[in-house]
Amino acid sequence: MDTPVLEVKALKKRYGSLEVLKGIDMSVSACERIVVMGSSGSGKSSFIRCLNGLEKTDEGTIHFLGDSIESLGESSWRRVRQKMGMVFQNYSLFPHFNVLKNLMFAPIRERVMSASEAERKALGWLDRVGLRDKAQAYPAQLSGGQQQRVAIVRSMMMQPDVMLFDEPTSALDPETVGEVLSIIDDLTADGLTSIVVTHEMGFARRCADRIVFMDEGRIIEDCPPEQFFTAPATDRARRFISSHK
Amino acid sequence: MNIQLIYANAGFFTKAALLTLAMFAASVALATLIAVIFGGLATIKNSAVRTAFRIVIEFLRDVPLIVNVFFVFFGAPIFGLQLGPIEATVVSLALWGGANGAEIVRGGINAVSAHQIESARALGLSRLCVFAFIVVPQAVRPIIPAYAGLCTVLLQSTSLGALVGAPELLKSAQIIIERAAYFQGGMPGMTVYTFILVLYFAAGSTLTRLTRSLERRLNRSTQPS
Amino acid sequence: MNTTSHFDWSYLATALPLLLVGLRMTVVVALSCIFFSLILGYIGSAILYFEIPFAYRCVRGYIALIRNTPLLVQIFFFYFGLPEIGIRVDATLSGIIVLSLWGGAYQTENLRGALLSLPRALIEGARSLGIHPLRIYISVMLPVATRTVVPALMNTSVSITKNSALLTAIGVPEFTYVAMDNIASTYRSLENFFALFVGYLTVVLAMSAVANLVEHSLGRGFRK
Repeated sequence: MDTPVLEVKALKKRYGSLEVLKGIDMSVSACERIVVMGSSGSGKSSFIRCLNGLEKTDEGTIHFLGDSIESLGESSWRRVRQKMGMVFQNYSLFPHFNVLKNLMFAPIRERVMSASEAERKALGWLDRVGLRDKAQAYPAQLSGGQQQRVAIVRSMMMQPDVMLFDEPTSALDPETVGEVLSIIDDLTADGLTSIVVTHEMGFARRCADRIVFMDEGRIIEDCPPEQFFTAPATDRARRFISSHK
Repeated sequence: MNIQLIYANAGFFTKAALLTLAMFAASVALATLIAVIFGGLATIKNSAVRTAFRIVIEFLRDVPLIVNVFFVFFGAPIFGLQLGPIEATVVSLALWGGANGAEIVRGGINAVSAHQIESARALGLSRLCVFAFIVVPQAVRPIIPAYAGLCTVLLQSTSLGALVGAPELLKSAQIIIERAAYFQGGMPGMTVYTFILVLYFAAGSTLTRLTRSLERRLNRSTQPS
Repeated sequence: MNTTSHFDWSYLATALPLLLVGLRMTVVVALSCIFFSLILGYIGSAILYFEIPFAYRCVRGYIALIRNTPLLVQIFFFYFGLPEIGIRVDATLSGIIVLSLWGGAYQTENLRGALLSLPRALIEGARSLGIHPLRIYISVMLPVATRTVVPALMNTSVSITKNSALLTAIGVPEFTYVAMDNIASTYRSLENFFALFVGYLTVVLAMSAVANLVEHSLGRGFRK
C-alpha cells in the first residue's frame, strides 16, 4: 500500500535541440488528486503524454504500480494504457460509433468485461453524468461539453488505476467548462488517483490534494493548494497566479 | 533479352523519343492556352456563357481520351479538315488537357477566399486589378501541383498516338518488334517494351521531381519567417 | 470513299444491338477492375501504413512504376511481352489484370492520403484506451478514412472505366472496339462517335450518381 502509484525520477525529454523536460521528479500516491499547472511551453503537456507513452522519453525513469514503463514497446504500452485512462483536450470520440458503442467498444474488444456487463456499466455511467438519453446519439450530434463527458466516461469504462487529463476544458465554451470540471471532481472524489493538467484555478483550489507547478521543463512548486495559492515559494508561481485570476 | 536490338536501332528510337517530347510540349502549350481561356470564361458571371463552356468542358472530360483522339483523327473530315496522326494526337490531347486544365484553373480561382476579394474591393481597386494582382497570384499555388499532374498524364498520353499511326516512342517500339520478329524470329517484345518503359519512367519521374522542387519554392515564400 | 455528312438514325438503330454488347463488355471489365483495384488499394495502403519491411518498398516501387509510365505501354508489355517468358493469357483477362494493377496503384495512393489526414487525436484516443493497433486500424481508422476518401475512390473508378477503352488496342471487344470496327466497315463515323459519346457520358454520370449515394449513406451518423 505504500508503493506510489506513479513514480517519476529525473525524467528528461528533448525535441531535437530543444529540451522540454529537464529532469522531473514526482511521486503520486494512491487516491491522490494532482493538478499540474504551468504556462504554455512549461512542458506540462509533454510530461503527461510521456506518462501515457504517447511521447518517448530520453532519460530518467517512470514506475507505474512498481513496474518500470519508460522504455516499453508499443504492445507492452497497450497493457499499461488499459490501466491508465487519458482524456484529451479534443475529446476524440469515434465519429462513426454512437455514444453507447464508443463506451463499450474497448472494454469488450480487450476482454475487460462481457458485452452485457459493458452495456450495463455504460448506461450506469451515462446516468451518472446526465447523458442517459444520448446513448444512441452520434458524437456529431452532441455539444463539446457533452462529447467531453462521454470521453471521460469512455476512459473510466476500462476501470483504470489512474486517470490522466490533458487540459480537458481548454477546447470548451466557458459555460460548459464548469459542468465538465464538476464531473471530473465527482468522479475522482471517491478515491480514484488522478493527474489533471489545467489552468482552472478554482478547480485546482477546490479539488486538488497537491499542486505541481511547472516552468521551462522543471517542477518548481509541489505543495498543497492552500500553500500554493497563499504563499508560493517562487516568483514565477506568484506571477502565474496573479495573471490567471 | 537482346540489348543488341536496342543499340542497333538507337537512332530510330532517339528520333521517336524526340517526337514524343515535341508532341508533349506542343500539347502542353496549346492545352494551357485553352485552359486559361476556357477556365477564365467559365467563371464569368453571365450564366448562359458559363453554362455553355461548362458543358463543353464536361463533354471533353467524360469521354475516354482515346475516343477523343480517334474522333479528331477519323472525324476531322466531317468538319472538312484533314489531320495527320501527329497533328490529330496533339490537337485532341490539347483539347482534353485544356478541358481538365480549365477545371483546375476554375477550382484554383474559386478557392481564393471571398474575404480576399472583398477587402481588395473595399480598398477601391477595380475588378480587373483585383483579379490580376490579388486573385491570380493566390490561385496559382493550388493550381500548380494539379496542373503538373495533368502534364504528366499528357506526357504519357502521347503514346496514344501510336494507335493512329504517329511515329512516336510506342509506335516505334511496335515497328522494331514487328521487324525483328519477321526477319530474325524470336520474341523481342520483352526487351523493347522494357526499354521504352524505362524511358517513359525516366521522363515521368524527372517531371515529378521538377514539380516537387517547384512546389517547395512556391511554399517557401508563404512560410512564416 | 467519303464519310456521309448527315446523321442516319436508322443506321444507328441497326447498329445499336452490337454497340450495346460492346458497352456491356466495357461495364463488365470496368466493374471487375474497380473491384480488384479496391482490394489492392486496401492491401497496399495497409502495407504502407504498417511499414511492413520489404513489402513496403515493393509497394512504393509498384506505385512509382504504374504512375510514371503510360497505361497503353503497360498493356502492350503485358499482352505482347509476357508470352515470351511463358505467361500466356487471353486479351480480356490480360486487360483486366493490367487495368486492375493500374487502378490498384491509384487507390492505394488515395487511401494512403486519407489515412494520413486522419486527426491525430482520433488515433491517440484509441491508443490510450489500450486497443490493439490492428483493431484500431480496422475498426476506427479505416471506417473513418473511407468516409472521406469516397470521392477520390470514385474518381479513380471513373478513370478506370474510361481507360478500359484502351483495351481496344489488344482486341478486347469492348465499346470503343465495336464502334471503331463499325466505322472501319461502314464509314459511318458520325453516328458511331455520337453513340460513343452518349454511351460513355451515361456510364460516367451513372457512376457519379452511385458515388453520391454511397457517400450520402456512409455519412449518415456524421451529420448533425
